[in-house]
Amino acid sequence: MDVQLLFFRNFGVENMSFIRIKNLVHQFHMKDANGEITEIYNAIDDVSMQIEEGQLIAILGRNGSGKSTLARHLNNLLFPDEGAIWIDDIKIRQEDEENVWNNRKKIGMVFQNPDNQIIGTTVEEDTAFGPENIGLESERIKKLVSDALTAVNMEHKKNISPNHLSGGQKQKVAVAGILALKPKCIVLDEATSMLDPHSRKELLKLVMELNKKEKITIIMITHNMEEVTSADKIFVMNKGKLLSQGSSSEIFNNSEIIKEAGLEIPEIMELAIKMHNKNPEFKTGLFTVMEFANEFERVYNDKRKQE
Amino acid sequence: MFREITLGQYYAADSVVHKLDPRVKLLGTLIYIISVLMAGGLTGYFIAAIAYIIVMKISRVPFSFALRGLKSVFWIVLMTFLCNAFFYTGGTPFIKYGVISISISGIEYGISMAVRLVLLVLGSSILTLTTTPNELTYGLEKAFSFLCKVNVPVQEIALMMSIALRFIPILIEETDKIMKAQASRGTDFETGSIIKRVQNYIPIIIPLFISAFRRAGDLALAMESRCYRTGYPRTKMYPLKYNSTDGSGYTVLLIYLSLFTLLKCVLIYIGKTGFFTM
Amino acid sequence: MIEFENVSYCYEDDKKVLEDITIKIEDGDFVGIIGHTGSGKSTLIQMMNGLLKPDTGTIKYNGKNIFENGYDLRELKFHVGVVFQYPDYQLFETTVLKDVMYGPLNMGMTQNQAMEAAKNALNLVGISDEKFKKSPFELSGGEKKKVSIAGILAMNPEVLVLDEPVAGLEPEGRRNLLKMLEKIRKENNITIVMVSHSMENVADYCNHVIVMNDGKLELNGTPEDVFMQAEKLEKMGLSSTLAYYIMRELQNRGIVTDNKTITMKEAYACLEKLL
Repeated sequence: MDVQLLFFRNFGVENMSFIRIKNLVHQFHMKDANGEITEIYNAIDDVSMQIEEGQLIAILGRNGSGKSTLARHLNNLLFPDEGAIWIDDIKIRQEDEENVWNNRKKIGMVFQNPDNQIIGTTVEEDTAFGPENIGLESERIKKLVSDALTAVNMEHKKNISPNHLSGGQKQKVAVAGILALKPKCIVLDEATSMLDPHSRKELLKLVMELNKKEKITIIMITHNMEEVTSADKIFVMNKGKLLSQGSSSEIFNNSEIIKEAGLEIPEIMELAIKMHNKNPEFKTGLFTVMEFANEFERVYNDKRKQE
Repeated sequence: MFREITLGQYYAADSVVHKLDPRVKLLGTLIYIISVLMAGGLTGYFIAAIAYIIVMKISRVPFSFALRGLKSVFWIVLMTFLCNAFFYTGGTPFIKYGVISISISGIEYGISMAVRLVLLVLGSSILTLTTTPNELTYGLEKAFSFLCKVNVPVQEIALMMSIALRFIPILIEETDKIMKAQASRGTDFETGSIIKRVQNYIPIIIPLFISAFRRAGDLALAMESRCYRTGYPRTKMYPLKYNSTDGSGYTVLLIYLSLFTLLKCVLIYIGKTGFFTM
Repeated sequence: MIEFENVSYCYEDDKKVLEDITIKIEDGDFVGIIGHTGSGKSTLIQMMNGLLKPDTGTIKYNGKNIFENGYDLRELKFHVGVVFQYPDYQLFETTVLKDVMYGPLNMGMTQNQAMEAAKNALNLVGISDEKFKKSPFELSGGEKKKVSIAGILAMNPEVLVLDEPVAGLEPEGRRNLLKMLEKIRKENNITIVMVSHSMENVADYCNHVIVMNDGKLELNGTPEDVFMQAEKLEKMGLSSTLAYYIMRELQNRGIVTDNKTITMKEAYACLEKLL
């Protein structure tokens, strides 16, 4: 029996989480032209985290910080070199194929490039790809596909070739393809980075809705802080390590961490911080125009009164 | 732009032929090819042509649309005729000059071959005119599924075909973009020796290949994350199911083939085969 | 100077992509082009170096019609350099240096001249010498972008046109790249045309803004002219800058007067005095 498994059994029920990652290490082997290993480095270096069901999670960090590698572990596309991951309290092991396939049903993944994840030659056919893979029968697939396309508001495009869709619409189809597998969790691996601002907003609105209405756990992997202001919890990765974790206001107010992780504070917040430096009365955790205006008005009026 | 690949041009229409099971149409194409090859004379071609016209009428595909397909093979047809007419050595030539020998039977043979080619092209185009590439792929998958028993990965091959159909237009568009990017750095596609011109395409081909490999890798990952596993039986949202029309389709095809074969046999028996018969 | 006079363009299926566009891009300007995907921005910039030919209308570079018989369109590409959105569509050589030398060699420079030009261009965009011998495919996204820009800069163009230069880059890379472009523009005295989705970037760096919508030229002027017309921008599904919206809100509340502010810098300068 696995020693680690025994160890964690002792934690008992209070340690149950939807996703539990303990001391995860993932190694990349750099090879030269002859296939000899020249360098081994840890793409993920001793990372532990817990994610509860129904949460809206953000994993932030620059390219190469290990966040995408982490995402692939969640989807069982990669397996730990050291440490372990539990999904619904079942430890992921590469040999345990049934559980691996089960996890892929449970946790779906939207990738960065809209073109490179659509398999079908029509929207409907693509959405059916997942259910067809797990061998469901025709009537069941039709129901799942039509529900999924309705959920992403693409049912009117079901007979259209994906080549005729915009990038944002393609990502919605990708989401539908995952929804058709009735997942508990969707991981968006920089899924908005190739979209224009309008499509980006639409896709974010869609996943937030799925999080609220369907209680689907959402894990957003991004380097864009503007997108994750409403996250329940944020993890910040840097150089393969977990740099910090906390609520969005905790993270956003920690300018040192933001700088170290190569992130960019949302512009309104940056202005608020400057205001705070000028007048410590001014609060900083502000994300919208209205929040800023309200705070400014408050501080401004206070100052007038004092004078 | 190049948004859609047209594999022999699909013509969308609401007809019995369009609705037929692709397997029926595949067999139909095969039978038609057999009948045209069996026929060796004008009567036979006439019957095959009538069959073609009837099916086209039912399919509601305009003839002008179908005839467009002939344009690309016009030169091949002409060459076939000329080669046979000028170099046929079987008959008694009325003009003989070096290797050129023109005889009545040569000309007849040339006409026969040209007509046969035209009928083959037209006949098989019905399949692609009335069947989407998708249906065709699935039809082929089903029709050849018996090969699974001898370990031919039919399902995988069919999936590969349908992925290719999806990505060819993307890669064509990408080629256009790469060419524009390199043209902006002064790549000259028009002048210079042949070697130079071929060299000028290297800056196009390398980015295209790298991109194609990246897409393939991404796609493999996306497929795996959506529970695809090789060798594992998949189901279909719209499985192919025969209905009564398909039964009638098969019946008509069998009758056509039987009558055609019978006619040919009779003509052989009474020794009346030839250019004007079959 | 690039001039578009009544330029129109259609796809094969008669879908209008550009409709009667008349614009003038002056030497030394930093021009921002804003618009939705499919608004005609990309078509517009591909006409600037003659990759696409308008159906009607004329395009002039330095007063000469570029589609007139006898005009050397290939030569034009060395004067008006276009950098496309994805560097992967242009990088192909075995080393970074060789890749950047490709353009200069096409111009007819000798190996030595081309190497000199490539090294200068790479230094200009901030790629250090030790990366010259690296394969361009080993670079990070931001570095690839810089190398692709260097590939155009090495041809020493008078106008540098960039299609969404910061798209897909990380925040740090985005800011560095824009600063670098501004520096190059000033120091080398070139004109820059940039397609962008970010109102803030355009407001911060450009002095001439062009707004496209459905193939039509909707707004054309200074950033102040354009971003003050928030309603018009919103109607097109675009927006003004955040700084503008903050200042407008504070103006509505009677805290500030006369709102002409469109950048965060200006907003800060104005607001810090009040606290």
